[in-house]
Amino acid sequence: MQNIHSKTTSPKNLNGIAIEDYHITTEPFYVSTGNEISLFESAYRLKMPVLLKGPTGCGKTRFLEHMAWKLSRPLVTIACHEDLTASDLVGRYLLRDNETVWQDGPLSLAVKHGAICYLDEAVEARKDTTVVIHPLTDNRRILPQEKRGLLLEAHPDFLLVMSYNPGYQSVMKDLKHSTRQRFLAIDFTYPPSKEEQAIVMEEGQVDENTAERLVKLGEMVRNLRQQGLEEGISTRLLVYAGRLISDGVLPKEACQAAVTRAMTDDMELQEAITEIIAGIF
Amino acid sequence: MILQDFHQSSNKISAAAKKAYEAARASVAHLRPRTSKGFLLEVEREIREAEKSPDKHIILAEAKQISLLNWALVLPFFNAVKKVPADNLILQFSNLVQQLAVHDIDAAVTFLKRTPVALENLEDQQDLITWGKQGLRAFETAKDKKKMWKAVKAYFIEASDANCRYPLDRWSFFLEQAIRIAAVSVDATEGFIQHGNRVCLLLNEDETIRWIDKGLEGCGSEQELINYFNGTSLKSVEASDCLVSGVPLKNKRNTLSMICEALLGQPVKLRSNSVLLGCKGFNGGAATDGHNIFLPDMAPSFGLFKLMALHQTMLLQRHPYTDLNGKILTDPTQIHLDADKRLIRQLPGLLHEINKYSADHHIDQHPEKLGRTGPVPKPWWGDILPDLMKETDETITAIKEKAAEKYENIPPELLESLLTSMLAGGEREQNALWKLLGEMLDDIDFDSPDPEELQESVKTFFYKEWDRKLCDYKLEWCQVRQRIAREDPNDFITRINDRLRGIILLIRKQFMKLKPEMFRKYRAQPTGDALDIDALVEALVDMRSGAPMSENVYIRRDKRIRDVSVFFLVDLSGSTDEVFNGRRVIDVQKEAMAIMAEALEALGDPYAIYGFSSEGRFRVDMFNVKDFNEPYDEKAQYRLGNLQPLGLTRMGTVVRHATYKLEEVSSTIKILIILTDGRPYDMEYGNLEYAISDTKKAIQEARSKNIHPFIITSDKKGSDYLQMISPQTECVILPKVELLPTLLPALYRRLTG
Repeated sequence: MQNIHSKTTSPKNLNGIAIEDYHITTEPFYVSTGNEISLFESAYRLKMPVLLKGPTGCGKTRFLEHMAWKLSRPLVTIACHEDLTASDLVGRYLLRDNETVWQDGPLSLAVKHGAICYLDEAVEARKDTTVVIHPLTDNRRILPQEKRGLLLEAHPDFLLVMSYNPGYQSVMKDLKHSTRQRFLAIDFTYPPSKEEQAIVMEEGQVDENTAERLVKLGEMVRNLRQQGLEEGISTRLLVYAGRLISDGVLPKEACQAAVTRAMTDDMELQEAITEIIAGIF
Repeated sequence: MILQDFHQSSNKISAAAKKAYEAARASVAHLRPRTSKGFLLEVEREIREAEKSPDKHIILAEAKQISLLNWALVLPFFNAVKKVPADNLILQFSNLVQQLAVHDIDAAVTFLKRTPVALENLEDQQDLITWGKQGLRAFETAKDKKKMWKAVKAYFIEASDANCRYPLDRWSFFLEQAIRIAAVSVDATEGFIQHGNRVCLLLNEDETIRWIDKGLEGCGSEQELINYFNGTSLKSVEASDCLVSGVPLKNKRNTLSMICEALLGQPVKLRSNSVLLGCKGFNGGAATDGHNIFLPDMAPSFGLFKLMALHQTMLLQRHPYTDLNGKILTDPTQIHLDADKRLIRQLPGLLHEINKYSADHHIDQHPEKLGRTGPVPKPWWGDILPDLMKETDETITAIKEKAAEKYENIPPELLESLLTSMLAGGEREQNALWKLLGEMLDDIDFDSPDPEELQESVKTFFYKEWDRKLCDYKLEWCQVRQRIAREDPNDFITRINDRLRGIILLIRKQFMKLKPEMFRKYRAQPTGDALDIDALVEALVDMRSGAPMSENVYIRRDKRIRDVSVFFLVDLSGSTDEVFNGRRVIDVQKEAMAIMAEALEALGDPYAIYGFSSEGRFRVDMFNVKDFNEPYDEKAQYRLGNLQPLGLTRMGTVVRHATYKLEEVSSTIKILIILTDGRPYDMEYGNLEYAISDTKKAIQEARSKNIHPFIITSDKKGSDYLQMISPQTECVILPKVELLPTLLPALYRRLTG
């Protein structure tokens, strides 16, 4: 299970994941909806770890990509999952020509080179794994590489960011307070309709009218959150619907695929959403 | 003297005018002079005015003819004829009046009086004649012409009214039908023309005929007939609903309310409109009181239902109704049109459907024959009930004010939603609502109705309950008292262990073998499907440095852990005291639980056991035998031994509490097993249908929270209601209650194996 957002390791260099590969060269499209950009810039100056909260597909990752580009820092993304171990983050010894060679994990890489390290969906990682980030998040700013007996001091530009979706409010998957209270939190929600329309237009490559309808659909489906939809429909899905439409799929069919069936398996809900789509398109 | 006056100045007036005047004078000869004097002054003024008209000859000649029939027609005639345009129409018009007057003076007078309004509202002037002729034809075709006068009079008023825009040919059909009704009741016929025909808005002509047949056959008394045909009796609306072939509301209510909720952004309650019977202005269509939406029980198609619901959603919480420019609208047609406009602005795709249903609708079949200005009513418009809206708002405000004083700590949103639910249930009278609210809220203040009776460790919980009549939850309706079963030492478990040692050992063994459920990754294993790099490097380093190399370098994914939790509910209702084949039901249930507990201890699945019994909605008792985090120790065993038959069975609440407890557990698979001996029954728990629908709802809720409910009953009559509560796969009916101890572990194995 590959958990590291990495490029292929060149055979010559075992530490092949070069930090340069993590630089973002073109500006990622992002529409600001509040003070999140200035807040993040302050956090970056002050080196305070940041927690991005919000439902799925509302633009957390995109925001961070945009910020990394804006601040011209490399962005190391780690998608967290249950089997993620501390050595997956910090690094491990590998064998080469009868010798053990240390290979830095993505976290160590980021710490050394002053990258922005992004732990995506941090709750998914086991609690004993998330503990390794603790010394990085307070004034010590160090990462112990226990196997090597080293203490890595973080590069002055290093910043740790986690994302977290409060929607999954299960007892099992909640951030420990000892972890979450090390971060300052920026809240994300679905963008307001005007901004969302701009996003759907740009990303979905649709005209203004179609984007407006898609956003309207999004709002109406989000109204149904009490009715068994665990989360509202994400901006991402609206963008998908837009892309399908711009690729020539009929609007109703595009929405069926990207909205109705993607959102729910419940027959009544599907019927209701289908009717709403029919009303809008 | 009057005559003299007229003659003195009569040099200037024509002979025709004189004749007309003479005729008018003759027509009032039988009246008292004082009455006739006033009348003749008016006539004189009218004649002088008519003299100025280009059609004066024909007007005056016709006025003379009409005067011969009845004096009461004369002034209305002068008034009306001023508005009637061309001379050829005047002659036809006058002929009509004369023929009508032969049948009924009152109808003829109404015709004359409504002529100016009709000319305003009818599209074509020729339609004026059609309008009158249809009334006349009603008299001519009716066998007993005397009985039609009220109906024809009502027709002249309704058909010329600006707000009732049926096309004239539709009215002709209604009048034909009115003749049939007139044979039995004059007043019912009038009611049918005035209001009742709107009940038939969704019916085609054949269906309308059948609706009338039903009324004629089914109603005995005069009053019954009147109520049926003016559309205010339940029978009348039901009959119309039966005749509408199509989709019943109850099948589509959830979908419809979701569509409305999506549009409005807040929950919308949809109800059957039968509760509105008797409200002023209600004619069986879709309607709203400003907070709830009321729909007919049947509609010809889902699409029409959808339009009705969405149209009413646009009217919700808009009293008084203002259009997009903020102008207050009171005319129903204007409101409907504006609501449709709003709707299409939000959902442009509906335009297509709106056009389709307008075209399908029988009224619009011949648009060229409409003979009306303005739009015809659309089948989804329904009724606007401003009085009801106003009243509802006032009631809610009044009760909220009253409640704010008495129940300070109840949040206003909760109060409002309670009130809306009650209003939707049909209760509209303020005092009755206040009393109902009191019933709901007063008792909540007490933590427990009789605390002295209970031990210290009582926890209370409140749960909603589903009311099938209301079609809604009654919030915070039932109180669960979570108590701990008595812990007095007893030898129940020891006796069972002695008696059933063999069975228990066997079942324990079987359960030990149960395969685990979920994959888990194990590192540093001797075998496996992938190398564990960290372990491998370590092993090689060890080897290099001369130490023996470890073989544990693999990652194995294995079904190692079971992730099942189970909640047992044991029925402690009084009926479990009954004896079957020498053993009480309760004892069999307890024995089954004892064996099950042993099995689960062997398996390691977390489990909880609760007994339940109730006595009305504030005393739903749940007796804790063992909770998930408690060990199955002596205490728990004593508690199990002490379970005794008690009260009744409020199943829905019990299931909700179990669901709540299970929600706190993090297992992947959650099972709820209910051991019971009979149907749900409790005080104020309604009839069987109420109890079953609440239980069914509770089970559905559990299922939606990823809990697998399972009912085991020893009630042999159970098959009927169990099927209603849950699908066959989720319940078992024991042929013999004694089988429970052996069956329960087997069943559990099947469920989780």
